[in-house]
Amino acid sequence: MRRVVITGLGAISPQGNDRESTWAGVCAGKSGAGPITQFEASTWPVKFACEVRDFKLSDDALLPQHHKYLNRPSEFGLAAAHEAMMDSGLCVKASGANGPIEKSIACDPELFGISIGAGIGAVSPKELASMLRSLAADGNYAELGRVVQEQTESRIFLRNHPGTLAYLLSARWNAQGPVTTVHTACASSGQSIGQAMLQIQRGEADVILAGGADSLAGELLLAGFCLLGALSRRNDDPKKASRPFDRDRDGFVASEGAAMLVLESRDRAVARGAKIYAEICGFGETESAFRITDLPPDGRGTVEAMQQAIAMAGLTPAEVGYVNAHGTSTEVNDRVECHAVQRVFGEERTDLCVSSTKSTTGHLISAAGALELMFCVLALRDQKVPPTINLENPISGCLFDFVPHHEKAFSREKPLRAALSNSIGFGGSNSAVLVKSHEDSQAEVGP
Amino acid sequence: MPNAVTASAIKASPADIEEKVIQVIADSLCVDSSSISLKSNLMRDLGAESIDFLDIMFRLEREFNIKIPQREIERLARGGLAPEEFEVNSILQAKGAERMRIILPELNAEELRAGLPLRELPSLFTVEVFANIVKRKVASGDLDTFVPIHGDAPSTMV
Amino acid sequence: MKMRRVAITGIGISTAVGDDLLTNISSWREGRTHFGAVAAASGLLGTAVKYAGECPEPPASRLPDRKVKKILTRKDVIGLVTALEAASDAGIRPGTQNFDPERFGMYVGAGSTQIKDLTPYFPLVRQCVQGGVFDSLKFGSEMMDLVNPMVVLQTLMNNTLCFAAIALDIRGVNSNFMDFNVSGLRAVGEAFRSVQTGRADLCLAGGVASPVEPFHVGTGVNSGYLARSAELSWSAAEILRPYDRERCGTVLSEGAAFLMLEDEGHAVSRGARILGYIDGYGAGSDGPVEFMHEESAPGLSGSVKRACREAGVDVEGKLFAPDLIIGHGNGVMRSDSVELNAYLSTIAPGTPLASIKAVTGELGEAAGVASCIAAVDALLQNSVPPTINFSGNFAADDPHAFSISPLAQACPSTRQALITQRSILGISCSLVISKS
Repeated sequence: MRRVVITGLGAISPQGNDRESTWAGVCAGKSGAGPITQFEASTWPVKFACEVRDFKLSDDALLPQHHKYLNRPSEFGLAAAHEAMMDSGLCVKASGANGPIEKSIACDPELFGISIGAGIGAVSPKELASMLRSLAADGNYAELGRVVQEQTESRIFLRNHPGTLAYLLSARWNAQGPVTTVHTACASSGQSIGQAMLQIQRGEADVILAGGADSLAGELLLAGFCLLGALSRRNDDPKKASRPFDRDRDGFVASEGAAMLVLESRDRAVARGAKIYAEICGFGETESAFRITDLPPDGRGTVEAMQQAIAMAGLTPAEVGYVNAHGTSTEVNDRVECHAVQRVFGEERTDLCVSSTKSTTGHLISAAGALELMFCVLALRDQKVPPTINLENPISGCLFDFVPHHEKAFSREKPLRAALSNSIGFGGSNSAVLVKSHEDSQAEVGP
Repeated sequence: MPNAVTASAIKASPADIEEKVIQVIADSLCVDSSSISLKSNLMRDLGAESIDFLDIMFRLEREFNIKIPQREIERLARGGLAPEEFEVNSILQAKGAERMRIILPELNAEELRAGLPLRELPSLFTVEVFANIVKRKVASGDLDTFVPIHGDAPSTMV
Repeated sequence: MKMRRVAITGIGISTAVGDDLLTNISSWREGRTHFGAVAAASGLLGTAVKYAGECPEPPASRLPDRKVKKILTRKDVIGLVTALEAASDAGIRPGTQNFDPERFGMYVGAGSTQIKDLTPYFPLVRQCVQGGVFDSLKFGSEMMDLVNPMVVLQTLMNNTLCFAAIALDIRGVNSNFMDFNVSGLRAVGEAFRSVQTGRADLCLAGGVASPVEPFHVGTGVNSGYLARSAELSWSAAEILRPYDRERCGTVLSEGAAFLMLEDEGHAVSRGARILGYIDGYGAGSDGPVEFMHEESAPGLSGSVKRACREAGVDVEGKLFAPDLIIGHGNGVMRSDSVELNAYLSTIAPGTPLASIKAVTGELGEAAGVASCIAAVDALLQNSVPPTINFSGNFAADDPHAFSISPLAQACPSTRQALITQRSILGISCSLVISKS
């Protein structure tokens, strides 16, 4: 079974439009929440979210003819992928008349794949209204197709479909191997990355660009989650609203962004002298099979996913130093997840760091798993873990270290060697992905 | 906005209201209305889960032209109490239980006591709780007024 | 890692001719088209599309729980019922299994939402968009009163997976793919991998699509992908013409198809009936190839090679020689061309090639899985299903190398079938199924 490592990282988040500013912001405990700016939300039941700011997609990130297929999440995904690919060293540059140009990717296209956790992608209210406007006032549905055919650009279908981003990436980077789109709500990119790891282990690809992209900041999706009562209503203090594991948590904070990781066969990475961030070696994947929205109170599904990931990595729970929790800041998730972590790691693990970066980033839904795994990788690189902010009254009965308020550094005597990222999906899919230090990396890795 | 319909226009007797509430719950949970009584417990007898509470509230609002805002029970229940008087680590305290009994007198007083985990509150709800919420909202006259003994299902979403 | 042999032990399918397996199979054997005039309720009056495949309403008695109808859209009801049928066909029924649920997985290829699924938003959206401007303040102040809170749950795109897992107590490996119309075949391929490598002992796998609705059809017509059946003189039985010179586009159909995949040892020990084996799987992408303007399909040829190599398909020179191909053949001009050329570089000339899409329509996420079922039948019958409407005339530049016929083709000995499906954005999956 081949070993798999991570050789490139890229991110777009409310903390910043690249990997390092995202990481710095999260470690500094900077909340990305604020009043919604993408539309007028002062009358909305929830008036705030975490939004990506000052973002502009560079032309390098996609093929010129593909601008017509873009929506907000796919722009984030393309940008994060571009950063990750540039970071990986796989792009072979040649000298052009006006300086270096990217020539090709140092990988056989047939062994280069894409694996994306993609967001729901809803049409905008304006698009929907323009489809509906020509209907009679009684909403006679019978001729809606004619209206769409006559008045709607065909590309709107592709623009709003979860599967389009993977195609845009395969086209931009000429990936002719397995190209996959996963949508299992919050578990999407945890699964897309874990499944990519398995594909490389099995030899179906040598390199896979894997990650996720999402945006809940669109009107119809945000409305949907408001209606479910799943979002925090702390309108008077958005930066305090996402408070995973805290007594006063009241729901999650919608967010947006993307994270992309370059997964590569270890032998190949070592042979080309790539900088290696970490080894990815554990993946657990389960279905809760319980209820539509309620979680099994005993943490079933989540427990097994973590146990599978740790076992696959050939480790024991004692060897894992950090868990990046799903930690959405809802009453149910955080309570059940604490219980699940205790069942896996034991109640006495006071040294186990368990933080939820959703306290700063908010919930990126389909991109959450990827972004949070990236934080696990950077935690290994920098030997420090990001905090859970807003933790003023933690859930009692859990003795692990929630890393409240401030980042925590590991010492040389007791380094962080393995970290695990949890995702507990709406609809029952759970994923847990484990990364560990790559001891014999060839090159120095640094920010 | 629901149309501004006054209570007098509804002219629904308590018995009418009860019958309609039973029908709404039957439709929402896809069970036979003949299998539902006022004492039926939604979760334990009728198989409801937390998402069904949201749906039932929405349907009741439409049926009776009333508003039952999300989380109002909680806000009501906690009003004026220090957080730790209401609950500690999501376990209902004595003063919290007392307050809940005032707000929702239909709930089983034996079960609604200190020591009850908050998340188990929905499991105490019977059809009668919903019927009485509707009756009080309808009887208040001004349907938009927030009346202290009204409320809604606790939010238990992931 | 010890690779285990993966058997097919159950089948479920729902199409316009209903959910009886034999009815579906005989429609392919005999070349009887499923689709007819679109129902008025589907919202396609006045479009360029007159024909489509639409499933009969799934009976409420087949639902595991009456409440699911409140939450599930039409697509997911069809998907759920079909998935349960495949499990039942394999002898797996809720509450009666005696194996570890963590060893039971599920993979789904899911189609995207219909415009009708957004109905809860319609009245308010219409009120709030005036003159092309969206009044978000009005929307925000009224949405809690006017929009049903269930709408997000109804439109979750992993609902078939979620509900089937609850009904069958599936707790193992799982995923939900959304790569357009290759997703169902991908689900079967990934399920194959999971059982093969020991991550699961059983896996339910398949796809569901419900595209006969205004958004899919309206946009599909404009791209040129769909045959403009309301404007052409072809009848419903003639309109979808895979590989034929006169082909004019595809016909969308609604449906679902699921297989139960199982470790051979596990199947034998519980006395399950084995319908066939999956012995090879490959996936590939065309990269920068443009929808409706493709010049080649390297992802398809790559996936064919990988699947055939893994399955140990006979080789003639440098080309693979499966006994038959159930191909993609969706009747779209460029798509069929690049497909035939992809086979030219990978498959021995003379290999029988068939597409059942002339009969079923393009079932989208369920298509490749339906083709797998047709392949299982073809292997057992030693007969390749007809590609109806193939006149014998190829389009200019299309290779003539393969044996395509509007009649069933007898195959003296069948051992292995190749199944292919290629998405509108050039992502392909190929599977090799061996006779049981």
